[in-house]
Amino acid sequence: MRCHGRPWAVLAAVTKGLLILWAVPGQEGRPLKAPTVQQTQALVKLMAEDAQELFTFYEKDQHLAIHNICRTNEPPHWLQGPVKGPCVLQRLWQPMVRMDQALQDIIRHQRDLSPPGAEILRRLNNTHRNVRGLLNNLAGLFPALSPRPSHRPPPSPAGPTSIFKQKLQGCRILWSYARFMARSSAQLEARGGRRCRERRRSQRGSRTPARP
Amino acid sequence: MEAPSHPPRLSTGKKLQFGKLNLQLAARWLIMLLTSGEEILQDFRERIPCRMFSGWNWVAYGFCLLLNVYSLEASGGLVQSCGHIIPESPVLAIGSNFTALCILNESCLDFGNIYASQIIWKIKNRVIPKEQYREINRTVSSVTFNDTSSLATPLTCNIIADGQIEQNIYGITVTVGLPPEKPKNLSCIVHQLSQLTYSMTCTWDPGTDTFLDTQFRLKYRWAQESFPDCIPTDVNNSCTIPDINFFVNVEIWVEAANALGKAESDPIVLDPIDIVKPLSPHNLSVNSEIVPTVLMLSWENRIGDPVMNLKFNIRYRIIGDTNWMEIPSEDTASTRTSFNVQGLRPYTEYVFSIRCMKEDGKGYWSDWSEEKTGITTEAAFHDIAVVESNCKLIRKPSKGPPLWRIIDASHSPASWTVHLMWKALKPSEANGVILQYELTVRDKSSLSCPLEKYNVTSTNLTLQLPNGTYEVTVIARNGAGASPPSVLLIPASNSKAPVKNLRALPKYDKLWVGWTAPNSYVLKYVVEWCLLSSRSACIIEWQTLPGDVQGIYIKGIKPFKCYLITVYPLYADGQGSGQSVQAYLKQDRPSKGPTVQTKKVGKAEAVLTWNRLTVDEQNGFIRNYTILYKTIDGNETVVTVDPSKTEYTLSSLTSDTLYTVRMMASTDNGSRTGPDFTFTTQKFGKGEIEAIVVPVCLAFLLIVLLAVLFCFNKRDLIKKHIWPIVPDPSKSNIAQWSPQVPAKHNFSSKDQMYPEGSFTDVSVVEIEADDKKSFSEQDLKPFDLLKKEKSTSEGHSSGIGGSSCMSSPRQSVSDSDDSETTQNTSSTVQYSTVVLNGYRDQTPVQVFSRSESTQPLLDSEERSEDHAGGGDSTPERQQYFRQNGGQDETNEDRPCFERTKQIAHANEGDLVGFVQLQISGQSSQPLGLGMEKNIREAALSNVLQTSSEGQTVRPEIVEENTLSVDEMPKSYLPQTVRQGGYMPQ
Repeated sequence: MRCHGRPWAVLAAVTKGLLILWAVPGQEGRPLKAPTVQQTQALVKLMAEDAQELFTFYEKDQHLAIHNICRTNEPPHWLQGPVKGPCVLQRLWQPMVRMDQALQDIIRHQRDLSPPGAEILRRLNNTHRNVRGLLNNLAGLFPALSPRPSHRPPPSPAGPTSIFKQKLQGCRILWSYARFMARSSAQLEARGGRRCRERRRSQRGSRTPARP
Repeated sequence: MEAPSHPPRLSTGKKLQFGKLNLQLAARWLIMLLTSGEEILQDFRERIPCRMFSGWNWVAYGFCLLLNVYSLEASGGLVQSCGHIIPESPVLAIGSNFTALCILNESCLDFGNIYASQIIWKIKNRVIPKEQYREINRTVSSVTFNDTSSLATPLTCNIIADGQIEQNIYGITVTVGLPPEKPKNLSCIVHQLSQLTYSMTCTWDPGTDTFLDTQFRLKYRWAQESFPDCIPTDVNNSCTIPDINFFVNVEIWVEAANALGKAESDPIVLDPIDIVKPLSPHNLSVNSEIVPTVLMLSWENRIGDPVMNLKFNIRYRIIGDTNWMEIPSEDTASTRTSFNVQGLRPYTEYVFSIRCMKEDGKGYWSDWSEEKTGITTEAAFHDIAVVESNCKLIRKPSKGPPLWRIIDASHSPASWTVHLMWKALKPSEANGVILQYELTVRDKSSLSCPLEKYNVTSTNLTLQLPNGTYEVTVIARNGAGASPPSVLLIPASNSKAPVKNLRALPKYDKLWVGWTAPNSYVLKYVVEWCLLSSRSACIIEWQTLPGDVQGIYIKGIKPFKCYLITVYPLYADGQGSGQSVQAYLKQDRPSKGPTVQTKKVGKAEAVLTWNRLTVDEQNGFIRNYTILYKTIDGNETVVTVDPSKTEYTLSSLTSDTLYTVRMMASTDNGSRTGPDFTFTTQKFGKGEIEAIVVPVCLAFLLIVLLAVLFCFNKRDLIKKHIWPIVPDPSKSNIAQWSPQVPAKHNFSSKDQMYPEGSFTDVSVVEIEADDKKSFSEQDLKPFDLLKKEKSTSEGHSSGIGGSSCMSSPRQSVSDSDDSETTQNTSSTVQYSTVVLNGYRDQTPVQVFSRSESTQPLLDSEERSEDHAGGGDSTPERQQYFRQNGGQDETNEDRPCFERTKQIAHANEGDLVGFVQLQISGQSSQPLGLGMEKNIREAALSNVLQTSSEGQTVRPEIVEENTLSVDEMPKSYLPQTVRQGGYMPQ
């Protein structure tokens, strides 16, 4: 492919798209109204609020509100920030992909610890849906973003084994996530997401004449 | 029970002959019976030849099943289908065409000689016309339906086997319906369940019924992710998605699917945040501000900034008022948790409520919050600057309280009980707290009377006043001062003109009262109203109106209640009389029907009465009563009665008939029927019984009178019939025996011969000749002679003898030649019959003796004769003699013939007169009534000897009881019989 250059790449992309359209039957093939930036910003704001409430609840519910042991200053690398520069929304993609996986782990862990219907599970699931919703919006806003992996990567071999460690790690992730979302929300409110789109539009506009 | 998915099919074993198909079928049914129950059993009843059992019962089923099972086992037990239908259990669209194939197995063709041409198709038990069949080949037959509307379940393939026996091969269940319609009008709403939870409910129009099991699924997805379908439960037009996420577009649509197809609604794409119905604000509070026209509302929102911004809608009203006012929407179009309501009245209580929705107007308003009240502060002293700058801000009450009275003159004609009442000022009029009311009462008819003053804090005052004209004033006083006075003139009489054309009718859910003003100038009107109730007194409410008003909407009126409304015109110099009207705000049908009963019931009419419904039961104006009556099997007759009546007479009724009557009360809005009442009309009308009874009684009296007269005239005859002359037995004797030949039976001189009292009784001697052999011819001669003489009496035992010969003296006499003579005398000479029972085939001989006795035989005696010849007759005859014998007291234990023998001993020379001898049984022998003593003695001797086997004849007793003639009591017994005849002594 590499030898044949760009036309083959285009052909491969078209084929891939057609294959996707063919593989997804019925309604899946229908185009859905694209999300707006305002929607996504509102979602980020909502998620920031939700993340903070989730962490507070989790910390209390899991009896980890002692000595601020969850409130680490060393968040996971994918939640480190703050998100700076243009295209704040676009930069949320990767952290959200990782957060999606992290929340799945926390939910699975909590399913083993909590009865069905527990409030912590309801909140975790809601946050998880928000994360996936944000990924959905980001994918709609930025089609060039790579699609989410269909299956999650295998858990890290160095993952914690004891329950307490799992709880604590979940708590720290949620803390880092809450801070990350708060920063992102604040940055979005301060700068808005338009610049990225405007920049992309201007880039696209400047690029258009160059298209074959 | 649902039809089996696999209908029964005919099957056969490999080695089975076709004729045994029934057995196989039975076995198959037995197996299926264990799993499918009654439905299969029903089919089994129809198929198995055991239908020969009349009166199916379980025993027969069991027996039949056992037989079939046994046959099945004997045949090898392997069963196979003999054919099948294609398609199996089809689901067809209504109106479409359909073809089914019945395919026979080759194995069945081999041994059964059955072919497709023998197939008949059936729907249920109805044979499908053969025009719809088509024989495709020797094993396949098809049936075609051009319209599946005519199809039903089951569709069976059957075959006519040898002997025209119809056997079922296979059956299928056919389901007919419609494909689902495209669901329409899909819409969704997100309900906020709590501060953090939301659910989305979507509804749609499922379309027409498909007659099939149709599944509806609510589908939704994001652009990059799909979610599990929402499947409705119990309904087919809505579904609730429990978890939703805001700010992510979701596509929603409905899929309807059944066996005939699928249909999808048009999808809708939305952000759930745009269809939220939030929870209403809560914890609403109302706080008064320093400014008397302002109240501050504060509340808590249950949906906030991260999710959405809100706008609000605030409404308020003065308490007691029904009209809401709203804060302008532009004043509350942003998120907030408090608001100052301005422009309110001072010292007025208000009710507030609030709702919210998304700030941009997308979505739905929340429900109204709970209502909260608050009262504005008093106007007085609130702001000196305002008072100084605005002189209109009066601190005193702005007006005097409305004043009215109720006069009760019932206690004393010379004085009134006047209930004065006035209304509290509205807060806006009172301008503060009313400290007291000051009343003055002035008697206008007497200038000298002092002014009476009363200070009260309540709003009423009762005074006892002499009749007259009074002027009452009242002022309200608050902290700032007194109000202008309100004046009420109480005239001695309400002689002024009343209002005209008073009417009341409901308008806009209020009761409007209107009237026409009188010609004179009216200062003001007072409208009184009260709720009429049978349970409580009429509590009067009232309202004053300016004189230029001719109508009013009365508020606070309850529906279905009757109100009495009175309007008084007040003039400057007096008061007009009140005009009243009753009115309902709303009417309903009566809460119960009238209870009818009869006051009087006649032959063709009945007077019905009922009580009027109480005003509480009426629920409206009773427009009419309806009487419904009918006989048990007759049509109902309806009569409408004016509501003012409480009695009605039903006429033209059928007599002696049970009627059921009920009564219905009707208002403008419906009717209610009371309980049934039954009555029966009388059989006879008024006077009919008298008309029948009186003539009957009169006729009866007449008959009785005639009977009395008749009896009186015929008293002798009646006396004879009813009270026959009973001779005195003590005076009876046998005067004469008359065994003479008929020529000698001249009793004309009987009276002379037998003076009265010489014979008192008649004796009967029956001599049975059963054992005639013991008598010699000589012994029987006298009887033969007697027989000849008494030729007319022969064969008439009822004459003087026979079985009851002596019961009727006249009859006895009638047989004689001189009956005329004997009938006219009480001492009738009568015959006795001596009956000799025939010996073997010989004719029995009857011997008549004659007696002067008129003593009738008693019934017992007659019966004893009936038993003649029986061994038991002896005691009876003894009794007979005892009754008539005078020496019974001394010889009670002796048999009658012993006494007879005693007599015979006393008159041995006249033994012929021994006529009262009766011997019954085999030992009884007729005694000859011979003429000669020797003969008699011999005969007697013979008799005694002959009867030695008996128990009663004991000669020694005779000897011991020998009596002289003088000692013999007078008796009916023949005491003396002269030799050569029956001549009495």
